[in-house]
Amino acid sequence: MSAKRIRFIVIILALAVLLTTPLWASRYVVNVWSLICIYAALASMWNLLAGYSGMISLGQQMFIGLGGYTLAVLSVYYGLPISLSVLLGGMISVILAVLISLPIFRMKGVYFAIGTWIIAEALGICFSNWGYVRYGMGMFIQPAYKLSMSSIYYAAVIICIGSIALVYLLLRSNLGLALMAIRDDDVASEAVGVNIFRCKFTCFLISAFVTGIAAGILYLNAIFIQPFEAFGIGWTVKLLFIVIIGGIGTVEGPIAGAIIFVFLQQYLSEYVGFNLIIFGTIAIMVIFFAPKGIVGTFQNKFGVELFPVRRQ
Amino acid sequence: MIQFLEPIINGILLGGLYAVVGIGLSVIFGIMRQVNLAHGELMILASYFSLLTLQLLGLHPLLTFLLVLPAMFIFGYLIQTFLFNRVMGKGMEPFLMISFGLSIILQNALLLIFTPDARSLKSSLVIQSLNVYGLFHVPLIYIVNCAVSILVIGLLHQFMKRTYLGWAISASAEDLSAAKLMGINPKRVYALAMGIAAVTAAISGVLVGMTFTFYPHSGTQYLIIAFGVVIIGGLGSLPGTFVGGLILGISQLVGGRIIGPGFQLLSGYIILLVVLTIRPQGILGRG
Amino acid sequence: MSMLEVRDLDVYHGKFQALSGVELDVERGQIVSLLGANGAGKSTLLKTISGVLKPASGTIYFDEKRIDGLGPHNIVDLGMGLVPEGRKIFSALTVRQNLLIGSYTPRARKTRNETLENVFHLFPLLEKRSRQKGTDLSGGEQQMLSIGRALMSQPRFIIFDEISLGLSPLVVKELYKTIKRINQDGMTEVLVEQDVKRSLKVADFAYILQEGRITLKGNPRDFTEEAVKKAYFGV
Repeated sequence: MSAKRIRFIVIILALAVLLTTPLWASRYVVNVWSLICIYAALASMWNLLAGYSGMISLGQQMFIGLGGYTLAVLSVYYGLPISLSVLLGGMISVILAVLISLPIFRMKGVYFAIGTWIIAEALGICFSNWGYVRYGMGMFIQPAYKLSMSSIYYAAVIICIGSIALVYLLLRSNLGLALMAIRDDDVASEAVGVNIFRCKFTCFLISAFVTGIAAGILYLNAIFIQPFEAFGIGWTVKLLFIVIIGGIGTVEGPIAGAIIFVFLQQYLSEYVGFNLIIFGTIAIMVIFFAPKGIVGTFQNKFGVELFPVRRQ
Repeated sequence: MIQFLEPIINGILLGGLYAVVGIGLSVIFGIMRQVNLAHGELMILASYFSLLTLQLLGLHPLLTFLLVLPAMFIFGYLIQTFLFNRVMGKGMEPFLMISFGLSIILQNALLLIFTPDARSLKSSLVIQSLNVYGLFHVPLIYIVNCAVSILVIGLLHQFMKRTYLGWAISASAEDLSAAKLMGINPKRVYALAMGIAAVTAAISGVLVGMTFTFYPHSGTQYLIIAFGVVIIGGLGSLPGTFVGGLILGISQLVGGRIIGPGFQLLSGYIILLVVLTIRPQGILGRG
Repeated sequence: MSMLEVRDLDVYHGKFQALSGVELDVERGQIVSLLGANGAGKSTLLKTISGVLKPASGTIYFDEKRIDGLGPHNIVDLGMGLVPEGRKIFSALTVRQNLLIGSYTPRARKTRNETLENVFHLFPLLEKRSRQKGTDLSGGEQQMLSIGRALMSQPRFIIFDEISLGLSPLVVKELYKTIKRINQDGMTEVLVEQDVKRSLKVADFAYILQEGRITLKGNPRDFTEEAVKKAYFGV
């Protein structure tokens, strides 16, 4: 059987299992896999920026917070249907991305990283001082109560599959070629006509959109949103962890990383206090001994890719 | 206008403290072009260490420097040697990840050992204040902070200009491969630089602990302040860090007075974003 | 054994082989020239000898001590100095400080004042400008500073990497006088040059590289123009 065939079968099997889970698994398992899907979507967007577009962002949480609050405000105060609110969460995030793109894209490298972080912190402060969204106390998302576990699960699965598929197709498109050229040598790529700014800008907008939507689903699951948590640097810590452990710059990495992260989180939740210390230690160990992450190391050793991006 | 005199004066003094908060980050940023996300935790670690020393030996907080500073130097030297030196030259992500990991470990270790209660290094300096012409008050501790800051920055500046190690650090920051040709061992220089950064973090940690209450998670907010100071003042410039501290301190307190106390940090962030946009190398920086 | 002995050296830049089977000897007290067209591998060879690059295979012995794989700072400590291409003067330091940092290693630091005297004697201009910023000097002056700085590490062996680049012929003439003078005082030297004629005039022995291989070696006085051209370009 050819590699293509094997790949196809693996993906079909995985999809079959994923789509039928609510039918045979417990609520707990369904919830865990919802989280995995959401984190995988968020991480694959962070990976798109850091692993493929050369933009290390320490501020993705600005879209998480904004997406979550958009969902909360629209569904609670305006009574908009939930799916619409989630979608609008994505759109508002894109608008934010456009608004900040002028200043933020003037910052390069580590300055860009810090700039994105500061913007997220600033947003957090604004929201925690805003009476409309109940200040720092946060908001309850009542409309989420009437949603079933399965519907949230399927929403999470859709955004997860959607984001992975999006990244995969993007990388196989002309934009993807341009990104890899930029990653290799950005001066040379400009010389052959690649508009670096436009490529990075497009990726930035895409990541904002998907992150905003995934955040909406996340907070449907959590039912409660609070500014310091929603706009907190903790999100970047988690995403960084997931992407590095999974494998930065690979399509499958965020999936593997999300699975490991959520399972670790569940397993370590018993050891309150120690759990984060263990997380930190694992992160450091991974950098020392498997810097390409699980998927990256696997790909190097066996030359196998589930979602091959390079043209044959 | 008079009502702004107090936040401006206090902002200047606070800025002195902020400058020391930022110095350590500036040294590391300048020499390794890397962002040490655990810098805030180094500060707070020193605050807690000082607290321990204070409780066990009954010393005045300022005297705890004698124990805390050497200990923190060794700690900084060790983390560079065993953690960061392993990934030097491998790009931004590994260093970020390790410093993140370290920051999480330190934060939560402190949380486990000392509980989430608010702490402070008590001394009479916080309560006493200077009454300036009956117009406003300047807490004595602010003056002490500023004085110590000027001393520290001055000493560091002289160190960089007059000693072999100081030249080695400047040379390595400018051109690492040329520095190696001088017989400079980059790993050792980095470790010493991190040791120095840890000492300055410790100084600011103790001062901060004397001035404000602190928690295990306080490191994050001081990390952002450190960044603010370094970016506004400029990379690679010690006097710039001082200027950055002043600007940040003043904008925080004045902004807080104008918009509202909850927006103190925000005013600082806005100035920071403006500088990042217009002149990322900072006011006195050399890019 | 020669002072510097390179055997069977293979060096790669990623997948590209920059040097193949390079063999080279430098005897004590010699001036050896290393020549070749751009991209022939001169710079790679120098970087490997001075420790900046690591070879894939082969050995390098300096004074009977194996040095391939060591870092540049170790090699400097063993007595090998490098005057790097492009001078690489530190703008953060004054002329005097640039020189002093050349004697960073403990061995050199002990006698630094004496060495500084000698360098000022060799290049009086540097003493005049000692308090100026290193990069405020002209190209030729910076080259003198770079040579002086290498001398501060108390080497027994110096590599000069493309010192004539961007300098006027008059300045280069003076520099070469100095190179000869340092050699007469006992220094072993390797010259990497674009200026073929000048470097062949002053050298005791020469090697020509082409596409990572040594294509001609010997006493330059025995070289014919034909042979040199062939060794350079392969025509």
